[in-house]
Amino acid sequence: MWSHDRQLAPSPLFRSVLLHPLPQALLTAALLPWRNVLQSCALMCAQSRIAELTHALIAAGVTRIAPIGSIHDGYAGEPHDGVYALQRLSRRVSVSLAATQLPNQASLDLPPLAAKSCAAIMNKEAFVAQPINDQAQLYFRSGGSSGTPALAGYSYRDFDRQMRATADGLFAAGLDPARDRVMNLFFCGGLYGGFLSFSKALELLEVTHLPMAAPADDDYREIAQLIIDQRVNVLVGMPATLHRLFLNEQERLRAYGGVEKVFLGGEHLSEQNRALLRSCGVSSIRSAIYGSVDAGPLGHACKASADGVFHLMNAIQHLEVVAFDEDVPVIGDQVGRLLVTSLAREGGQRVQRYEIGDTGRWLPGVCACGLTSPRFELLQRHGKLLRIGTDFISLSDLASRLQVPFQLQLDHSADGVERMQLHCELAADIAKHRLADYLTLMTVVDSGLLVLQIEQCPPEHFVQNKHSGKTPLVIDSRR
Amino acid sequence: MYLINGQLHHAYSLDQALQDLQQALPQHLARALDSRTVIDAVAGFARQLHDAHSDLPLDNEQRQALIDFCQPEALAYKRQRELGADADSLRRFDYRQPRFEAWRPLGLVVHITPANAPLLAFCAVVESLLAGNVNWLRPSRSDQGLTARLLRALVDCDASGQLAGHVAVIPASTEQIGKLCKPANGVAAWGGEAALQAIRQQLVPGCRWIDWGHRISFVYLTPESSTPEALDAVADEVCRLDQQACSSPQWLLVDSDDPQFCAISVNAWRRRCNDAPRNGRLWYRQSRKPRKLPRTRRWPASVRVLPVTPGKCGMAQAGG
Repeated sequence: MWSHDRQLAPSPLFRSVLLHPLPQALLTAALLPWRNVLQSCALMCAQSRIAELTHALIAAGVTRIAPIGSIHDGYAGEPHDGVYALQRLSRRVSVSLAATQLPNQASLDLPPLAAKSCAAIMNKEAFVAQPINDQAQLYFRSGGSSGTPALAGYSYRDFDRQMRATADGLFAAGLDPARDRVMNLFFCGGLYGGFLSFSKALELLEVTHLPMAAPADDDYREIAQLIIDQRVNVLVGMPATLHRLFLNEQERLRAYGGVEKVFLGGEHLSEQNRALLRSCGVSSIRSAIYGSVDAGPLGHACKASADGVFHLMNAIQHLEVVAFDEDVPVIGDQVGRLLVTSLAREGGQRVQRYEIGDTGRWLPGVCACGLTSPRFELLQRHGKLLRIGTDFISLSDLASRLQVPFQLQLDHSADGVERMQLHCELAADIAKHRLADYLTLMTVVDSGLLVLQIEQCPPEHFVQNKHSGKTPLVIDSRR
Repeated sequence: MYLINGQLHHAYSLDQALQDLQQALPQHLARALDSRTVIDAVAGFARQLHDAHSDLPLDNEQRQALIDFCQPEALAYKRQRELGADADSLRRFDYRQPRFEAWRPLGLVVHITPANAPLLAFCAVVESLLAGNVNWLRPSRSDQGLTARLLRALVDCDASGQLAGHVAVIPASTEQIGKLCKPANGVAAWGGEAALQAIRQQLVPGCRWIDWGHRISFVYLTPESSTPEALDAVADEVCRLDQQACSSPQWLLVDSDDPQFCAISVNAWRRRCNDAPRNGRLWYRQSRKPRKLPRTRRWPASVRVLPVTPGKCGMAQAGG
């Protein structure tokens, strides 16, 4: 009923409504006696007045505004009566530590209980053969094993969780968000996934960040100048890029002396290259994060462990080490194949007992850094893809072009650039001709990130493993 | 009907129930309940309802409402929205400070739920399980064992076996509510002002009071939007659910001080309300003293709130 006053009262209900005039200017005053019990308001006005009246109604105590036709419809996660119900049912707890206690630990979470794995082991082909599910929102090109580019899919939530773990990992490895100034040099070759991932992780760390493209023409002068001008003290990137930067610009970087920390993605840096970096003032050189585009980040370095040793990111990944010749867990700290089961992967592909292609072993005992997550030592690749220079080289691509047995020996040339010695029965020029259309390989060679040496050598003279007598396809001595 | 440790009992004494439950309480509180465990069980329960593999006393509409409420994605999303991503993670909120925060359950929550929304009690317990709490439910007298059966079916869907210790149904009398609430860390109650006040007085100091009381909702209309269609829509909403939901509009407030405009609205409204099936009424404020506010909480997922006949509600009426 119509009542031309502003004394509001509840309706007697059962299809009753009270009609009152109430100009906007008087809303707060008229609703004041009812402020504690106000809830929904169906606002019916011209679009141009929605924002203005919304603010006025909320200021007057309304907690919810909805269209008249759906005033009873809620949505998942909607606040109710001005609060989130789950927050009323929970306690927010806090723990403060002394600055010297666990200074590089981002969380105090307990390790999750490891689930028993019984699924079949998934290789690269099985991983790629999976359809990408409809929860995928972010697609990364991953190293396709047979020339066709493969994609790895993630939901943004997956990516966020995984990069949060990566950020925690960089923090554990010694990145200091309070004072570090970081240049991200991961952008190179086909491995842009690393660049985007580190960008995200550095953003989560809220550290000063200079994302940078590596030059295609091998000219690092501008980058070195920027490092100096912007007082950059931390570099993150691939070993090949960083080595090339320090090799070309060592005089200026040495004179600057301000680059203190270098964090690498996964791969090792040779002793020779370390010496070069140290001569330019770098005091901490770490392979900080280990992971892959397919499976996501897996491990991170810490301040107490040797380079090449990683803490498992056990909030997002489960890791198994299984024997080479049998699908059973290794005993103790024996070397075996690494299998990954991702706990933070809803979008894209399933990562379940995925054989990532690397070998490693568990490290016993509790780490001195204070983190309780298990540690593993990463050893060499046993699979079909090799990270060389800034890209992946496929062994099957090499085999299909060479058409003869071959053996690869990986190390570093005299000036520290990665070197691949290819042994096969073909004359060097014939072998080189057959590989000429393998563009990935030729690009890393042409850009000076890999030295390729081809030597004619009959298969019987290939290097044999001293213990097993086997002839390995790849001998990786890049440590 | 009692539900204790996953078992239904037709006869049980309150004292015995409280003694048994309190004895096991420390061990349940000490071991964190993962929200994944809850969501998995709830999803299994929804599948069972969907496949009609149950002899639960539900009509089709109720069955569907529960299935909708129990969707695992919606519950996971709700949790993420309300407590944030990684709610359980005790982590630094700023990497530069050695300060860590996380959400944790209150502990033991006693729920006192209303008579006019039969599914609400079940939903309230599921919601509290999502926060990780141990829950003792005191259903309304009209519940007739329904919620105990629903929760028993839910607990049966839990592969971990952990949920059984986190859910109990205790049909205490109004006089016994104080005793029931004594060990609680939180009491969640639904109802009118007087009922809530009576419960609140029995809480021990420090116990969190989670009240869902009556609410007032309304329509705010500007003159230029006062079209026949708009007034039709208002009339529909006023008639829907007999205004028993807390979000049912009770007032039509007009952004105008012009008596002429309001008079026109009244007439337009009258004409509409005389049309069947709306049959709504406008009230002079003086014509009948309003007795109480509407009585149901608008539940976030599509659990329909069912109107009740006034006067049939017990002490615990649903809040707005």
